[in-house]
Amino acid sequence: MKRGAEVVVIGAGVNGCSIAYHLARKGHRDVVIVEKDQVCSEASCRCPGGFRHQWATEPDIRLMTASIRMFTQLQEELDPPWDLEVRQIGYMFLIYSEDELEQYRANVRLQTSLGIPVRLLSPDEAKGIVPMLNTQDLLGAAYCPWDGRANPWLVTHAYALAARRLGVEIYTGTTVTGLVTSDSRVTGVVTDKGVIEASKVVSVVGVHSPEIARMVGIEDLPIRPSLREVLVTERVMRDPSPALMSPLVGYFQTSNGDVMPGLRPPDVQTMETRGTRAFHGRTARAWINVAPLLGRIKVVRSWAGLYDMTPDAHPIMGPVPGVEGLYMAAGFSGHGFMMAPITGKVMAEMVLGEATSIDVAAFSAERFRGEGHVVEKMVY
Amino acid sequence: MGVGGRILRGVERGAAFEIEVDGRPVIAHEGETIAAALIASGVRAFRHTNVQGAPRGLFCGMGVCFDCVMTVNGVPNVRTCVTPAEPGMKVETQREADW
Amino acid sequence: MLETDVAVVGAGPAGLSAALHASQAGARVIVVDEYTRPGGQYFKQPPAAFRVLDHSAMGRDHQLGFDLMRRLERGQIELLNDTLVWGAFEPGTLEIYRRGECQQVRGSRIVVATGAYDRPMAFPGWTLPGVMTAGAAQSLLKSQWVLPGSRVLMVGTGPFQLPVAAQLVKAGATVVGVLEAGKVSGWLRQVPAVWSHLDKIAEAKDYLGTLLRARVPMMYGWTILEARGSGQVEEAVITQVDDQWRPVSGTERTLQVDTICLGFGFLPSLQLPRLLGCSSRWDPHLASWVTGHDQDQRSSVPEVFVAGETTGIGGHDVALVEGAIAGVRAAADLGLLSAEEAGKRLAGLRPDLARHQGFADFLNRTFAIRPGIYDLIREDTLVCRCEEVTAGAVASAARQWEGNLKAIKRVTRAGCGQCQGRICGQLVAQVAARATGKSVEELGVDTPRPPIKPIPMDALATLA
Repeated sequence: MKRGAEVVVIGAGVNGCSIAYHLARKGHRDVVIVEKDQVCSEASCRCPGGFRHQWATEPDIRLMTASIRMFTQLQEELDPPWDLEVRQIGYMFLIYSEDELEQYRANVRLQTSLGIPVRLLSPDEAKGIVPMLNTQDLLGAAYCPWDGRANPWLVTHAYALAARRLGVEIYTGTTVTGLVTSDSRVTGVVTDKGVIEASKVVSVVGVHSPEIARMVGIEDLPIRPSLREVLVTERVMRDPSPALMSPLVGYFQTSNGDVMPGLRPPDVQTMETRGTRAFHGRTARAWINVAPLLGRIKVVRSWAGLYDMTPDAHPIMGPVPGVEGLYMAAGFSGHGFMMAPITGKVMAEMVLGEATSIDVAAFSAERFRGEGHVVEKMVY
Repeated sequence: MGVGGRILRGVERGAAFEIEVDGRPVIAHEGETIAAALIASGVRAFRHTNVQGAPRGLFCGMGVCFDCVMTVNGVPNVRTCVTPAEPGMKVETQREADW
Repeated sequence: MLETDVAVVGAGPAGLSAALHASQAGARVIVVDEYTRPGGQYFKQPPAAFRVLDHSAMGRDHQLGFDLMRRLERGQIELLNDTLVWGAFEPGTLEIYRRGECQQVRGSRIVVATGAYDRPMAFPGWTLPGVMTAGAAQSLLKSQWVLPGSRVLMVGTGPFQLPVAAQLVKAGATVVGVLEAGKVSGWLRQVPAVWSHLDKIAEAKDYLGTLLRARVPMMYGWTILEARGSGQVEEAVITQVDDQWRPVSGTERTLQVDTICLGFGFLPSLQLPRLLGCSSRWDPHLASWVTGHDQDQRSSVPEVFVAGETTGIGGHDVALVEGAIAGVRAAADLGLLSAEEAGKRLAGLRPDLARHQGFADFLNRTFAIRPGIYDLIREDTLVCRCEEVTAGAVASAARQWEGNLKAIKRVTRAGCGQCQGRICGQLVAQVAARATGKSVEELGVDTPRPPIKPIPMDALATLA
C-alpha cells in the first residue's frame, strides 16, 4: 500500500471508481481507492441499473442528459472485456391519478423544452408498446425512448478495471478510520492498514457518509439510509420491455431477459440490508395487478439495498465546507448509478480545480445551511 | 432394448395414459415423472440452452439442477424430474423460455 | 400461520428420526418436505400408484425407510408434503410454499435436515444428455423403475457407485465399467477402522458379487476425461490417474456408452441453515462447507438444530442417530423431558453415533476428492451449467478480482441461474482457487437470499 498519493478516493462503488478513472484519464495517476470491502459491494451492486432523462427539475435533467450521453459511449470508452449491456429500451411512467397526470404534463413540458423526446401516451398507446399492461386504472403514461438500463455490476467493474489500467491502485478490505487535518486542510487518510498522506480526499461512501463527516467534526450531515428491495425472476425471453415506473412500482428487464419487479416501500431507515416478507407479498400483488402475465413467472432471488437520501433528494457533490481538500459525492437518493459517468467527470474537474463541464452549484453541501431547497419529486 | 426403457419385472405400474410431447403422443403411467416417461420412450434431450442452444436432459434427478426443465402446459422452466405426468399434459422441448 | 413445538425441515432419515423422537417425548411436530413422498434421497419411495412386488429387491435401505414410514403414520406428526421452505424473515419462522400459496410455520424449535445432493464434477462434455449423477440413475431405477440407459459407465469414487452399478446390472443394463479414481492400496491402510462394520463390508461384498458375475470391469485409478456425442452421450474417453487423480497422458481409452453416471460423493445442502443464520465450517475431507453444531446437534443459532447430511456426509445410519439426538434435545429444551430423562436418552444414542460416525469418517477420508480431478476442467469447459459460463471466464474474473466469489458471480453470471449456485458453486470456487493460489476455504461462502428455490409470483401474492 502506498504511504502517500495525490488523491485518495474513499469507496470503490460505481461513483468512486468513476471518479478515480476520470482523474487518471486526465493524467493524474497517483490516485488510490480505499475500500473497506470489495469493488461494488453495496448500493452499486444492488441497483437495477436504470438511467432516465425524466426528472422534474432542470438541474437534474441537464445532469442526466450529460450522463446518459456518456453512457451511450461508455463501452468504447472503457473497453472492458464484456458487454456493459447499455440498452436504451426506454422508461415508461405509468399514471394512475389526475394529480399525477398534471405533474407529468408539467414534467413533459419541461423535459421537451430541454430537448428530451418524451411523450404522453394514452393507455392504448402504452399497451401498444408494452402488451402485458393491464390498462384498467391507467390514465396514461410518460414515455422516453432515450432512457434505458445498463448492468451496474459490469459498469462498476469496468470503471475499476479502466482505472487500474491507468495506474490507479485499489486497496480492498481496507477501512478508513480517520482523516488527518491540519489548519483546516486535509493531509491524510488513516486506515486500518496504515496512513496514506494526501492533500485531496474524495469521500464516495453512500450511507456511510455521516461517519466520514464525523471524522472532521461535522455531526449533522443530512444523509440517511432508506431500505429498498428488489426481486429477480427467471429469464423471460421476449422483446425487452421498457422500464416501467409509477409512484408505487418499478420494473426493469435485463439483457439476459430476467425481470426485476420492485415496489416503493414505506420509508424504513436502517443500515441492515435484510429482505422482508411484506415486500415480497406486496410487490407480487402490485405487479400482478399491473401485468397479470407476471403471475406465473418464478422469482429466483431477491436482495435489499440502501438509498442514501438527502432531504431534497439531490446529491451532495463538491467540497466539504470547512475542510480544504476534502470532497464528497454522496446522497444520490436512488439515482447514483445513472449519474456515475457525469459524477466522475465533474468531481475530477472539481478536485483538480478546473471549471466543471456542467454546473453543479445546486448540489453544494452548503445548501443545507439555508432554507427552502427544491425537492426532486421523481425519486422511486 | 434401446436407450432407457421401463423395467417390467417386479412392479405393477399405475394406469397408463397419454401425454403430448412436441405434438406427439407419449405413454406415461400414473405416478411417473415426466422425465421418467420421456426417458422410457427414448427421449433424453429436454431443452436447448439460451446462449449456445446446446441440448440438455436429466442431470441430478432430484430437482436441484434445473437442467431437465421443459415447457409444460405453456409454463416454461418446469422440472420434469420432480413433476408427475398427467393425462393430456402438453410438454414441449424448451428453447428459450418463451412467455 | 401454523404453530408447533418442533418444526422439522426434510423428511429423509434425519428429519423423520428427529420428528419421531420429539413426538415420543410429547412434542407437537410438523415435518415439512419438498417432495411428494417422505423418505428423502436415502429412502426414496416409488410412487403411490406403483405396487412393488418384491421389496427385498429394493435393497436394505428401502426396507429401513419403509419401517420408518410406518412408525411415522402412528405418531402425532403432521407431514406437509410438496411443501417448500423458501425463506425465513424472522427467527423461528419458516416461509413455506404449498399448493400454490405462501404461509408460515413457526416452531419453538426448528430441526433442519435438508440432506445432500450428488457432487457435480465437470469435464468436457459433462452437459450432454446421458451424463447424470449416480443419484439420478438410482432414483430413476428405484423410484421410477426406468433404466437411464443401456450401456452405462460408472465414474467416480467411493462405495455409492457399487449399489447403483449392481442395480443397473440387475435391471438389465450393460455396465461397461466402474471407474474408481482411488487405488486399492490406499484403502488397505484404513482397514482397521472398519472391523466394527462388518455389516457394511457384507453389503459391499454382495454388490461386488453381482458385478463380478456380470463381468463388469472394476477399474481402480481410472476416471473420465471426456464425454462425446452429437446431441447425447455416444462415447466416453477414460484415463488413468496418478495418486492425486491427475490424468496420466497416454493412457486414454475410448468406450462406446450412452450413459455416464457420476458418483463422486455428495455435497451438503446448506442454503436453509445459512439463511437461518447457522454458521458453517470447512470440512477438508469433503472439501466442502458443512453446517456446524455441538454434540446435541444444536447449530450456532440456539433454537435451530441440524441433523443428517447438512452437517457432513455420514450416510443414513449417522442421519438417523443425529436426528434422534436433535429430536430429544429439542423436546428437552421445551421442558417436555426432564434433564435426567433427556440425559439418559442422549447417553443411549451417543455410542451408536460414535460408531457410525467413525465409519463415515473412514469413508470420507478414504474417498476424499483429490485435487488433480479438477485438472479435467479445461478453459472452455462449462462450470456454470445454467448460465453457460466457462472455466476460462471464471478464472479470468478470479484473477482480476482477487478470487472474490461475489465479484466473479457478478461479472460472469456464474451462479445467477435457477440452480442458485448449487451445482456450480464449488466448481467455481475450485477454479477461482487455482487461478489465484488461494485455498477454497479462504474464498468463503455466499449468503443465500430468499427464495432458496424459485417460486412463482402468484404464490408470493398470497403472502399476507
